[in-house]
Amino acid sequence: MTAALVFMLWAGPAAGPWAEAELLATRGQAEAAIEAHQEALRDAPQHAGLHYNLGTLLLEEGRLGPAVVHLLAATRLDPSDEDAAFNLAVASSSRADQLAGVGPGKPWYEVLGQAVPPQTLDVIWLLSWLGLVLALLLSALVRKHAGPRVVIGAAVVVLLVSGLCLSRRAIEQRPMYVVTAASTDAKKAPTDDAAVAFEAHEGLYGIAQEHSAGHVRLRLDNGVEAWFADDALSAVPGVED
Amino acid sequence: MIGRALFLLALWAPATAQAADAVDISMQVNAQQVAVDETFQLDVIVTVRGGGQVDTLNLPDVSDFSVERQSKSQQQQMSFGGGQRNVTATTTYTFLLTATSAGRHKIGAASAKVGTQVSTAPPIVIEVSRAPARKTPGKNAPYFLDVQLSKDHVVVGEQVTMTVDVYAERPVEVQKIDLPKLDGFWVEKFDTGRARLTERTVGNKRFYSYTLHKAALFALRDGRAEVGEVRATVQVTDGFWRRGKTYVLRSDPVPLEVDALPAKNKPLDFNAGNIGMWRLDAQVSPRRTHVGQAVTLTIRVRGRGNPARVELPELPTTLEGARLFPPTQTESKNVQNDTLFGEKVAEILVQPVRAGRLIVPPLEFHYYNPNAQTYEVDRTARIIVDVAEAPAGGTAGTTAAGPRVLTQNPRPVHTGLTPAGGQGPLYRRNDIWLGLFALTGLAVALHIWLRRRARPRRDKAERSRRQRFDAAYAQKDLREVRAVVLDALGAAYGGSVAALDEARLGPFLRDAGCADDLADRVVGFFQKVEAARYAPPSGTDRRALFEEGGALLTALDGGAP
Repeated sequence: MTAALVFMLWAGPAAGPWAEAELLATRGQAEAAIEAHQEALRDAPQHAGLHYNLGTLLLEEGRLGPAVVHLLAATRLDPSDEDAAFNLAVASSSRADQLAGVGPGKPWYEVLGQAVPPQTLDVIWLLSWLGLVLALLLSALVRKHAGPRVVIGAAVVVLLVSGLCLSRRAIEQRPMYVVTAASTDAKKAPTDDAAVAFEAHEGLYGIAQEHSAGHVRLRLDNGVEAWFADDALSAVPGVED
Repeated sequence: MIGRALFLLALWAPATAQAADAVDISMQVNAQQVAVDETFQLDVIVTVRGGGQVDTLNLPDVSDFSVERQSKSQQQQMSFGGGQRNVTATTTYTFLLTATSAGRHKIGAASAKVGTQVSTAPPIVIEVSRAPARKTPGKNAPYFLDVQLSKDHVVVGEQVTMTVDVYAERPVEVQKIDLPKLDGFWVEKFDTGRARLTERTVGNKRFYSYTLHKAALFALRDGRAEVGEVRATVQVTDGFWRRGKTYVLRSDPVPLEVDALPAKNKPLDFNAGNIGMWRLDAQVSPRRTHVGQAVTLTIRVRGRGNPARVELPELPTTLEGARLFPPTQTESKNVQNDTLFGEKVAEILVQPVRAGRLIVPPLEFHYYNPNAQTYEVDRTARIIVDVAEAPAGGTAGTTAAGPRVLTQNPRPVHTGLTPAGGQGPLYRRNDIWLGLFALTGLAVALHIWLRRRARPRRDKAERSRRQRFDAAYAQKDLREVRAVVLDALGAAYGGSVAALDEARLGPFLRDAGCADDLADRVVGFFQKVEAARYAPPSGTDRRALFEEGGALLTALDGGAP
């Protein structure tokens, strides 16, 4: 029994496709490493680290579109991963399309939600709930007039922090698409003969606003919206509930 | 309570965001060439950023000179920016020094240490002559201009530093300065900042001196050159309200001998701008690539001299097995200790067209070193880039916007991944939300149950107090009413209330969460009861006191202040 446990601890986490994918990546066997990471992602599609590694390998290989898909997935699954944010910035600055203008700006709750690292937000969130539970119990055990006020205060804190968490969840679950075709027309309407707004290239991404007739209306980071053909896009794996 | 905590958190947060301490020390003199018995000023400036204290300060050794006066001044600045509080403290140690003997005398190095950071200012050499080195303009005048060149003999392209100082017996305000046309020179003006007032003696007279202008001059042709007359308009300042007379000061022209570059050992096609001390460097990034994926060849010349006139070595226009894009060139410059430094950089995109080894040949850069008075050369090594075949199905190559080149090297892949490592934050998990709601529901249920369980006991005690109060009211026993109210207070806020005097009762109740008005009423009630012991109140007041006691009992037991 003990021997089996020791073996599991020794061989556990890095065994199987994980270890193989890592080994191939560190040996510089890029194509094989990409395939191994794709294989590992089939078993763990919500694994931020695998998405990061796959995105980085694809980026190093110059496959900008798929690289952006996986780097975006990595940043959404683990917003605290600075390496993923950095490599996504490298990919964005290396693509053919550079966004002009600064966009409409984020709402305050989004800015506030993203200003706190996810791990810190986790701790604050759990502590606020713990505080509420303790306030409820203590106010029942210690008969003091301050009891209701402490409970109300703790409940307000829980509401605020939980609101931040929910807003952040909503942001992370927005449907995003990346242009993975070498180039495609960004149109003004969801029809094949619609006027072309601009030509988009591999690596450009945006948040989906609407689907219609084989087209998706994307909003880019600078606030520009345009219709893109479905077959030129790839969806970014979302955060599952 | 929560508000207070948030306020303290807000105070604490910016303090933690304060930048780490940094220290910088520098030394300045207002003359590097003086005569015996002349006085000049040395300033040692210590700047500490981040609010730290200097742990160790080593002031320079000035034993070669006689110290006339020594003083210290301090200045502190605080600013807020980028979410940080920035504190900068500047301490200036001023020495008024007199040269006592001729020769080259050294002011030693100075250093300052803050935490683990150490800053050092290099030594300064002062040339002391037996007699004034040259004729001082208007030596006997109370105000005059002095134009100095750091050298009187240079080669074409070598830096000579021009300094324009005004000397005045009394403080003056400089209104205007007219510089001569410096034809035949490449001029790089130095930023002298705000004119700094220093002290100096010239010919037994003590003056205030200001540096008005400083620039690096690079002669463009050989022969006798001259820095012409400099004119400055100054106004004597006689206190804050009074303005004195205005003077127009003129300097004498200053000659400069410029030699041509020596012909001996001069390389063919030598560029006359390559004068100074330079280093050549070439790099390729990344060193491994594949067909179609461009790499960047960076060629950089950096060093001391005039970067605007330096020319890079001939850049490669073709490389076997690669396509080269037109280079982009940039240059930058900076000034250290009145010397111009800089670099010139060329970047070339190199796109391999076939697999194998791409070789960047060695490069050579020739320059003339005026200090060594020789022509020197710096070379780079051969650079080899491994080029792999293009990946199958890859999209490397060009897009409509040009070759796809990563703007920076991406960070490497992560190792040591675990299956559990990809779960992300807890707030994203519905099971955790459900668990928290369940826990809170449980706590609410427990709260209600505990309250209900305690209720009969509490009701009994409250009924007993009410009966005691009614009896005391009927017997007009004020002390008993006081005891009943105290008992109710103990039940609501803890038994220790009974042991408190009136002065401590109010703060205790407030700290225990009692509303301010209720706490005031309780304290007021006890004070009146105590006063009634020594000066019995009238019938109406006494009745009011009983009613107040009853009201307090209702408020405390009923839980509705």
